[in-house]
Amino acid sequence: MGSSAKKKREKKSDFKKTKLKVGKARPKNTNATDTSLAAKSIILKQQSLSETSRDATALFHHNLSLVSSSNAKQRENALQYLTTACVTAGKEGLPQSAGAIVAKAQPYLLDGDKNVRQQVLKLLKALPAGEIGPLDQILLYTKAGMVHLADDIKLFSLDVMDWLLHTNAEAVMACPGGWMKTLRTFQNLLSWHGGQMANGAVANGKWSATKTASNKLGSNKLLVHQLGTLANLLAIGLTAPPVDPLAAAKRAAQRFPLHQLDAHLVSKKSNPFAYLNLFGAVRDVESEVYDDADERIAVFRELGLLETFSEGAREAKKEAGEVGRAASGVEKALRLAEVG
Amino acid sequence: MKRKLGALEKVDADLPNLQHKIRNDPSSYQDDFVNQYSQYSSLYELFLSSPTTTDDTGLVRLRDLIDFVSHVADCYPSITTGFASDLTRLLELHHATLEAELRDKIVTSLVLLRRKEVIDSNTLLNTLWPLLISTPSKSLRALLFQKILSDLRTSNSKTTNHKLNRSVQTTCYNIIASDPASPKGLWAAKLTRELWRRQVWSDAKAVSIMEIAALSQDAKVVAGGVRFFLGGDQEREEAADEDSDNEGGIDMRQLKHQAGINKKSAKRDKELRAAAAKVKRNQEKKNAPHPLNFSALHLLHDPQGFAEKLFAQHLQPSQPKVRLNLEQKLLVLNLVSRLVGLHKLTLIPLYSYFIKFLTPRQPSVTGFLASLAQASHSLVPPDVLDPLVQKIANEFVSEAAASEVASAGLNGIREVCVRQPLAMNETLLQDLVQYRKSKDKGVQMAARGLLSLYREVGAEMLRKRDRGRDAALKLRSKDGDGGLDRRFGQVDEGGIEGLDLLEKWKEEQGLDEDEEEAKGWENWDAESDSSESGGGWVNVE
Repeated sequence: MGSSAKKKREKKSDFKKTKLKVGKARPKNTNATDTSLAAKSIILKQQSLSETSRDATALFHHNLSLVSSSNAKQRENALQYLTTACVTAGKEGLPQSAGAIVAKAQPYLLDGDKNVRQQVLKLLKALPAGEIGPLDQILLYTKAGMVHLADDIKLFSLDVMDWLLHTNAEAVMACPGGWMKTLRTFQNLLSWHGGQMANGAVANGKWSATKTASNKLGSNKLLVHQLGTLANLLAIGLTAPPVDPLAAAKRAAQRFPLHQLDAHLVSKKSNPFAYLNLFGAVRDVESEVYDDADERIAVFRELGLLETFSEGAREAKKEAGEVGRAASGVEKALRLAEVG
Repeated sequence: MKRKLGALEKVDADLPNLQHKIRNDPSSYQDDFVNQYSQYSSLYELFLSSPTTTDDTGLVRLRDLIDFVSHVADCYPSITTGFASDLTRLLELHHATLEAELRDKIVTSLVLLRRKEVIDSNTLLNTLWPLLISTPSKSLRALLFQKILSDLRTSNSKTTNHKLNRSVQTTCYNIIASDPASPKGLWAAKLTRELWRRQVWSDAKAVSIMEIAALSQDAKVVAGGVRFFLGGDQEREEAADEDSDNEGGIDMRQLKHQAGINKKSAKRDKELRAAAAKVKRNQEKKNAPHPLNFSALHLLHDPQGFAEKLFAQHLQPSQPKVRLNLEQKLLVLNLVSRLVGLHKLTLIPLYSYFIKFLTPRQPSVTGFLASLAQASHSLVPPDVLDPLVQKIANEFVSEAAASEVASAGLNGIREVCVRQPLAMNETLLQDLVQYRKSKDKGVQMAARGLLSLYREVGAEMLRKRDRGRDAALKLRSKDGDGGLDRRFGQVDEGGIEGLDLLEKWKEEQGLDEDEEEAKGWENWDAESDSSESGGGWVNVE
């Protein structure tokens, strides 16, 4: 066959000496062996095989973490467990403070699944009312729910709003923006802007139709609910609590040598000077805290809301039936603002 | 991350659909938009107060809403006035704690708003730049860098936006100059290099930014700055080349042949015409005059000072402020020697620095030899270079050394002597030239190169029989001259070419030289004469 060029080349390369490159490191020789090693191990997850069931605290924490699972059914079950645990807590108290539970559960007020939402509300209702702490976040979630695009969530968040006003009205008003921003949300929802939006506007030479307030036939349940909650809010917000003139005198008499004791005691609630907003961002008119009913009435009238709301209520009253009744409730509440 | 869309989402929250409708008819969908915007505001407030909330719960996600609003923001400018500042605020306050996807979405929305001219470049850059410097997240830094770069490129695409360039350049300069030891300057250096490569910033200010980058006190920033000067123009050419190569490869003959065979249709016709237009465009681009671009080294404002500072800061001290490894030191040395060679600077301590490194066992010794060659020029005093040449000869060029080492040494010596022939003395030269009889080809060629150099430049240093025929003839003819007619620092007289031809022409014209000169001096104060003889004093009131 004769030796081919390829074979010749291979034979030659066996005896070739690699050229020395000045200034570069010498190349590794071909019979060098690599003696480095890396140990490998297999790790199995441990499953607890103990026969005794876990105690209540462990189960509680487990369920609390399950609330953020991706499976809707699992979320619902976890919330249900937590609700029953809170109800039956009794005097030992809960493994986690009420505030922590609320912080975990409140994002799911806007969840897509109906059952999950209902469970969250039940959980909130089951918690002891005084221990929930500041309601800023819950209020924000509720407002986000009220303007949500899905009607179901809108309806549901009105329920949440009702519950909040029913149990914790003072706390709601004490949130920054609790009064004005909530009113604004309602205003946007019902589109009561006081004649700014003309119907059938002609803009840019193109005629375009604007949507009217009542969207569909026969589904005014939402509108009724909205008006009802609004009436509730206005009634609570614009009434001053009854002042008992003799109570102050009685208290002073009880502690006779000491005078104005309440002002000098250390406050029992946390962050008592939060209302001063010493370190927070500057708040505009809408996000201020309005503790006093008179202040709230004043701001209400100042921003011209009285006129816009009255007009809107009058328009709504014209539609007879449930809607009309709800609207008259709103009007009654508005009358509280006219006095004084 | 894809999510399964729930039924409700497809009906009520179908944002892309709504976006499309709004684009066609903004005013009729204003209510819908207001709803969506209020939804966005309430979610935004939530995030402002607790930025670690997960975005994924519920049907409507904040990032989808942000995306939607930023796409249609220019249709409703009155409603969305505070949108951009909301986004900037959220980023400034909570960029470290927000979820990655939401954060990236906010950044891209801001860029989109800039594209639609809702906000201007300055605001965008003022938001993104501090974020780039301070964020700990790698992916966010990459995203921000890319966006900043593309924004600068688009702002400069039609015409050079001098104002914007100036302000960004000043920011970059200040970052590096204010804190030389921090690694944040690396981003300024990276940005400048990238923009120089794309030929967006090709002025002296960019060069000054890289100057202080090279003089800073962080190793990476220094390396970045030095690399810019060393390889800047090469990168530019490569970038230009690769851009042009992409378009190449259209064979018109082949395409026409195909068109003749295949079925004729309007689409194929259009494709053929498009290909022809493309080829024509490429031709025009090639023939267009290349825009004038000075190399970075020529735009330096004070090369002597720069080279001195570089050497003094990074190489000379035994305990420099910045710890550079060998490769980085070599880069700096390369830059210093290039500057010295290019501008013919005088930096005497540089040469004694080399002595330590000229041994065959030194890693990357060939790099050192190359730098030494670059650093020598005709204005270097020969007694400075002499010990260096001696050292190379002693260490590299000997019978015991390997042939590659010897050839490297001889080549190095030749390179130095090309630029400064006086650095060599006779005995050494005669010794080295003997190596042309060696068995190894490399050594032979190197020695022959040295010999031919000195035959040309200084033949009387060589032995009589090495001188060669031409050189010997020249020496004999110019006998009193001495072959090595260059003394140190001697420079040829300058002259205007063809001056004697002017004289010849004047003779031909028959003009007398002396008369010519006298006439030229006659009316030198003509103007002042006329003004005095004119009128009296002219009152200018």
